[in-house]
Amino acid sequence: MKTIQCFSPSSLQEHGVIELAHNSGRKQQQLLSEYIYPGLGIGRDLCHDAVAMRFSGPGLLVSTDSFVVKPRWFPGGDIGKLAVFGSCNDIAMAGGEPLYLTVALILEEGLAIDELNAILLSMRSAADECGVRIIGGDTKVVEKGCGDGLFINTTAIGRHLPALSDVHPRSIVAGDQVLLSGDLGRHGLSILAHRHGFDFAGDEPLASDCGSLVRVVKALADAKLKVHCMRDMTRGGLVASATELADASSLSCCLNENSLRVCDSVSSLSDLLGVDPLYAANEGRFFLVVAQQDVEPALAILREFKISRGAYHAGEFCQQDHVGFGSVLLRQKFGGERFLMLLNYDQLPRIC
Amino acid sequence: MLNKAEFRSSDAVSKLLDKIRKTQSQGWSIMEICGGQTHAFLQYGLDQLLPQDLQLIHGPGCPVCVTPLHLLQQAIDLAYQEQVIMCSFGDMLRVPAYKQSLAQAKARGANIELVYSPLEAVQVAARESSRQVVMFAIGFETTTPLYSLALQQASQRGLKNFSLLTALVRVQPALEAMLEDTDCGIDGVLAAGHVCAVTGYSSYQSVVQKFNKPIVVTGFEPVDLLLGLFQVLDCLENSQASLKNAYTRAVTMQGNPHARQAIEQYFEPCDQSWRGFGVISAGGYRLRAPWSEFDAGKRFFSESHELGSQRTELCPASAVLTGRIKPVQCPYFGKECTSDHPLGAPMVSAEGSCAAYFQAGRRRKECQ
Repeated sequence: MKTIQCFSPSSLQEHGVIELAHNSGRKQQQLLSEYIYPGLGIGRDLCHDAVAMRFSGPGLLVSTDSFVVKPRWFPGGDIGKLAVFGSCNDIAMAGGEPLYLTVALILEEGLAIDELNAILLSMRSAADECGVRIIGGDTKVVEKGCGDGLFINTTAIGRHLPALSDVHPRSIVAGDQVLLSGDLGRHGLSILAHRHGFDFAGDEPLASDCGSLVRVVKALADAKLKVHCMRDMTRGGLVASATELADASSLSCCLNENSLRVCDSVSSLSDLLGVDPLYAANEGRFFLVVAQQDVEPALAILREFKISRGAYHAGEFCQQDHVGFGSVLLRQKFGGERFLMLLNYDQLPRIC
Repeated sequence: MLNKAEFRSSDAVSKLLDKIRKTQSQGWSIMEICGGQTHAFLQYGLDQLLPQDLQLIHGPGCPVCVTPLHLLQQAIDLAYQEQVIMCSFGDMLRVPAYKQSLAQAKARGANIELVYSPLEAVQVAARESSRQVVMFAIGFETTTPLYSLALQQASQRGLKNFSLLTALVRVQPALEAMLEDTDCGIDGVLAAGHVCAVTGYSSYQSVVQKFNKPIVVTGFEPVDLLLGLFQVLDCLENSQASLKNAYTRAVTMQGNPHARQAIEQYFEPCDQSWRGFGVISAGGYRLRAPWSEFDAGKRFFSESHELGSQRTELCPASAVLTGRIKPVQCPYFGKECTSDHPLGAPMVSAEGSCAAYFQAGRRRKECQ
């Protein structure tokens, strides 16, 4: 792990916040050269209007995502870390290895430069963890009231790992098994708790699962398992991912409630707020679809990595026997069944 | 410290289901009053595990669902006034009024703040001293003490810019109104545990006697629900119209005296319009006269709305809520009426009975 240096450039210290003047001219240059480039580890030789990349071998993968999370700092992560892991994980989920990243920042006038710097350093550390190089980007300042402190867009560029080049929702066949890489709902519930000042100290402190899936996916590729599809269970949680994959493959996804894991803190807070952790966002958990014979080998690999140590077998895909209806079926703990339908809206705590 | 697993144990659930099956000798219809209980029955799939002729009737117990449209429209109209900030619980935001919902109004510039407690609205009022802060006060007896606390704080802090737009409802008068309907077909009742935790349940004794039907105070976990059902069933099979408490860890006969006193100090019963039912005598709460300065209805609207002046809705809500039809038997269910476009009260919030069926994907199976 590289040691991250703290920057304390003199020229910006007297202006502790982002100003509209940082949009152009000398101040922009100072912001870029004293904070953005060193913060993100971008070399000065790349200061050109575009950057050339070298590729050899299999296909190119590109994924872009914007991050507007509020609060910017939350237990287990921050908006910067989330922005790097988010796009890199998307490349990993498509069966790829991320190599390069661009970063576009939209800064609101008044943002503390110390905070910006801390987020840049967090991004750099996350990029190191994913093995990606930040090669460029853009910085804009908007007037106070026209942004929410800081928005980040990242675009990850990577290449297909040859052993995973068939990873796609259309590769899922009936009989394929569903593995989940860990317990559910940590990110969504910890953001909700933090955003509304719920001081919820259970036996285990609640923190986001925000993390990089790049290394564990590479290990799956190295083992040459028959991975048919992967999906990170971000917005909309398990149900959104399962529904997307079931619909794309025209199959049903059947999940066993007894297998699904939710930690005590998430479960208690969900009960208290009346939200369902199966619909809550995760930022370091993924849904893995493998052939039956690869269930145990895949679980063994997942469990070697801290981020997926709690991996488990959760269900399977089967032929749809209820055309035109819900595509994700939950076999319930006590013996009933219910469909898990997509929600029309984000979950909101209920009144009673 | 309560161990939640105890109330969700597969072993305890199957033992109770066994007892229910062994006790039952004929068909019965049992109503759970609270939307939270309806939601839990469907979430855990317990309704599918009951004997077929043990019918659950899903009652009206969701304050969001029964809030009359004209009050919701008042909240929206107020939120568009420049000097007003309207504070609301989250699940009220999506309910469509005549033209739009609070959420749609918010996107079009109305001033609406989502709060998790009425006390947050008091803080908003303290912060925004130049604006009028109105809390859209919906809820049953469970939530009402919080509005009392909010009024107490606002009054102590001398906040002249805080008020409540009240749509508060009382459970027992609604239950009595339903039981009075001779077509209702309800044999026994699971009373709402959370409401009884505040109000106690001694007042149900007269309901039991008047209607000659058993009532059992019931909780919300799988084991609680089945225990409540078993006790009602046991009464029915033995021809006993009794009042029982199957939620003793939370509910006492007298309820919570502090919470009751808090309600009593600021509110008094009044006739209230329930969406899907019409006017229910003593079915709601209004502010007592000494606190009427906090009444947003009086502060902002010169004429009070006529009770029962709601538009007629297509939705056969009262038939669903009194068990004459199941949600899936409604001609509009899943077609014209979905959780995206609710036609009436039971589809409006997640805890409404139609919404619970819709979200659990019960259309296909039940229709076949």
